[in-house]
Amino acid sequence: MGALHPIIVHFAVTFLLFGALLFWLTKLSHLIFLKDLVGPVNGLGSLAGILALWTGWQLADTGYYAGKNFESHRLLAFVVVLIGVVATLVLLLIRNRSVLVDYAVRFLFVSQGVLIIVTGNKGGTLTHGNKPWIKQSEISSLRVVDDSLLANFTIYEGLIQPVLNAKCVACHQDDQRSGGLSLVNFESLMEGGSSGPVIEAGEITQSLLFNRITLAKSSAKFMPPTGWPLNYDEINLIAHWIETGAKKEASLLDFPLSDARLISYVEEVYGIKNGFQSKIERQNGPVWTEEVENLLRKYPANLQRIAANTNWLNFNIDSFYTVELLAEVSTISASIAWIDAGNSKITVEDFILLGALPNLVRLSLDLNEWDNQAVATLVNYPSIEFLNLYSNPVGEESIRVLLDAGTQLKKIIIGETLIEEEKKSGIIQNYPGIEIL
Amino acid sequence: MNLLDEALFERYQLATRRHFLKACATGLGSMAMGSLLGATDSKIPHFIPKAKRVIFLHMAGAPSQLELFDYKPLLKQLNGKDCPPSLLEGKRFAFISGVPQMLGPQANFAQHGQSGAWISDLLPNFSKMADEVCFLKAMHTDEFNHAPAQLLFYSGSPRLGRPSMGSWVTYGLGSMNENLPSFVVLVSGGKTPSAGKSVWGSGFLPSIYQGVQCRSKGEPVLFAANPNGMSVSERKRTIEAINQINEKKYQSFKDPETLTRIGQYEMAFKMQMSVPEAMDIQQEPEYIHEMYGTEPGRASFANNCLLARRLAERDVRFIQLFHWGWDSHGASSGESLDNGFIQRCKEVDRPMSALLKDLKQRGLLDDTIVVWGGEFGRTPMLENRNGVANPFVGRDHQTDAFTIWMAGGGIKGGISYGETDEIGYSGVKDRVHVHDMQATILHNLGLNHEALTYQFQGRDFRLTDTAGKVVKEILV
Repeated sequence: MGALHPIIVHFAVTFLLFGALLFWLTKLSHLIFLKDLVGPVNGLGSLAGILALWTGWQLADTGYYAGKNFESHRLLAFVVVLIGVVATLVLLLIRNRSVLVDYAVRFLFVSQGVLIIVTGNKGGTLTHGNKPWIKQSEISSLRVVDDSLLANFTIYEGLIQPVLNAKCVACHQDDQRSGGLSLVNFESLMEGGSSGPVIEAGEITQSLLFNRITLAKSSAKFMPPTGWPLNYDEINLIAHWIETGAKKEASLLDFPLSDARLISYVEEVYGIKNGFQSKIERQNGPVWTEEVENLLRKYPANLQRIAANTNWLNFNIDSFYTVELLAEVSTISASIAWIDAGNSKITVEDFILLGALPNLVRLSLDLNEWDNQAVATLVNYPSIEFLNLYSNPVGEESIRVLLDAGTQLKKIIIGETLIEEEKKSGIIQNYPGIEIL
Repeated sequence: MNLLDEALFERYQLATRRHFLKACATGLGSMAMGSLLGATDSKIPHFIPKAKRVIFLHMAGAPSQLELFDYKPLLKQLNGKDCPPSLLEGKRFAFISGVPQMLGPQANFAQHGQSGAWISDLLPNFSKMADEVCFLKAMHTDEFNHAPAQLLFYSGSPRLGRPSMGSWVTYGLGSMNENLPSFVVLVSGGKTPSAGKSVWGSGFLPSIYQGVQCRSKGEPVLFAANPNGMSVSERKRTIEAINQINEKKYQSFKDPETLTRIGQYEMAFKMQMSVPEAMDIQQEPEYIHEMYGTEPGRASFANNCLLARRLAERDVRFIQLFHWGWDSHGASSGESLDNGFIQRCKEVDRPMSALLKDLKQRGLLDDTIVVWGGEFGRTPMLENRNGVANPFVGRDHQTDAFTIWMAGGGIKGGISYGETDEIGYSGVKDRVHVHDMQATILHNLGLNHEALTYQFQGRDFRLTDTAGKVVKEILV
């Protein structure tokens, strides 16, 4: 029912606002004939408000919402519905109102109108972000994955139990053991139910649990009997886990890496990625300031967002760049992740104007005039993962300086530089973890 | 039509429902304009891209996988034997009829690189690049004739009218270069592909997204140069005047195609300067010509490969090469495995290897996806047209198994994905449909193939239509 909350609140907001408005309109002498409408309209609003409270409560039960805004939204909602109900009752039941009661009613309607706006705004903030009425919904934050998570990630806790929780535990729990089976944890799963064990390690066809979730949906024994069945990926996952021994402690690393489908499932559901991931894929980038938005508008050819789901920016430097542009961009230096300055003939003196660039991961300087001295300054940008120095008059010395600096470099392009072929292979051998072309 | 008729016609047009909708202040016209002019805002990848551009090397006519990459020793033993009926039941071929004979590989294979990829001796240069590419060996398609198969390959549908992949990509990502079109097509082999220009058409997308064909011989883009006696400044003023008129036209009719036209005039003017520069391969040093095997002034695949690199360097988004002549039925010497096919291999081997090498040394392979392939594969049987063996050795069209390769731009190098049965007749493991390939290319460009849509005739269309799955297994 929680899913209906966003729809129902709009009824509540509409009628309660309308009710308050109507009340004040009837104070105008030529609109007095609307008087009898106020009660029913406000009543409808209050009713919708009660429904909204109920569905909202259920929505909050999912656990997705918390925090200050949520708390105040809930509290205000109670207050506003209470006011609505009281105001309606007073209006409908007390025909001959004393002056005092009449002022109280006026006060109730004023606060009802004001509070409903505040409450709705708080609710909007929960779903659409800050200042919902002027801003489109904010970028959903990326799942930031700690590398240690991968090693500590056990298949059972991380993947199997969540599936059971979502699809089975409603009926198979300790208080309500349908078929004598509880699926709340590994031990109870292995204990089995009244028909005996449900998991036979290594044998999916012998495992009752697997059989029941893969029967024809029309079968009376199909599980789950109501609600969403397990999807293909989930079934596949359970099959895989049973086949590999149904161990509690098996970690993701024990799974054969060739099982690309499993890997991509984990990737999709948990955002955990095997292998190298760029810094900008692991993090979301600093939240935009007004400055960022202004510069994006001002220099559309030079500054672009890298993707719609991230705050990182790409900065394009062409041969028409100006010192003013670099100085302006330096104010948002932390948002820049990629710089393409290929064939721009930018000098190192000008490049330095860009400031610290703490998150610069990709730098293309191909077809420029950077020498050893210039390239050596790049040690100041420790986040660089990819560096293109193709066709620059640079020698071996500064490349070694860069590679020795313990930066994040994963790939460096040194074709058409002053470095001779034999020396190149020497460098390649010295730095096995880095791709040098 | 005389002027009066034209004026009347336009007046009637204004009154039609379509034009009412378009001209209405809050109507479809203003929305279309928003989507076109707001281009710079909305053209952001859905997620962080691995690649910025694509170079597609299409071997039009469909090269035989069995002579190049899909090595089948068993087929050698079966050479000359009658094809068992079980393989023919329920199958439809373009030409084979009756009982054909099996045909062994017409080339010698060896394993290459650290990955041990099987590559035939017809591609000696490419063999050295084995560790750069990912072979998709169990590709399959739905169409067994060139034109529909090419349409399916590029537009996701075997029928005419859909936008091509390059159009979808430029629609989704926009241009990276103000002076060059973002979708360029280069054709060699003396013939445009069977499906015609629709394989780089924009279908129902605004025509600003269609591919621009450039020629490697003579004037690169036809009719872009100024005629004799027309100076640059005069041309500039002319175009400005035309655009002002078009602007007025747009204000009254709100037809988005008018905006396209304004854009095209501006682009054409810029191209008069930028295209000749980009297409001038004579600027390249000698060792590059040596590497690609280029001869300036000729229309060849080698020249086109070098051009592709030059365009990639200038941030053209989608570069599509077609090289005709791979339809090795065996009906003529030019279209046979024992002659024409070998010739075609010679024509492409050096340039395509050089392209990979050159992109790699410049750091461009990192964010450029290179794809090589034909529209379908070829049968393990010798073609017997009308039941009679052809004068030369050849194979018929085949949809169930063919090989393409991809490289760079977030694709794993040095792997082979997918397997075919022992005679290369159909895929048995990790099959990849044409739609899956399209989904994967879009994915690496940062686009979700299910979200890149365009509404036309009442429904949302997409490149992969209702199918397509990203082949995550081949991604870095």
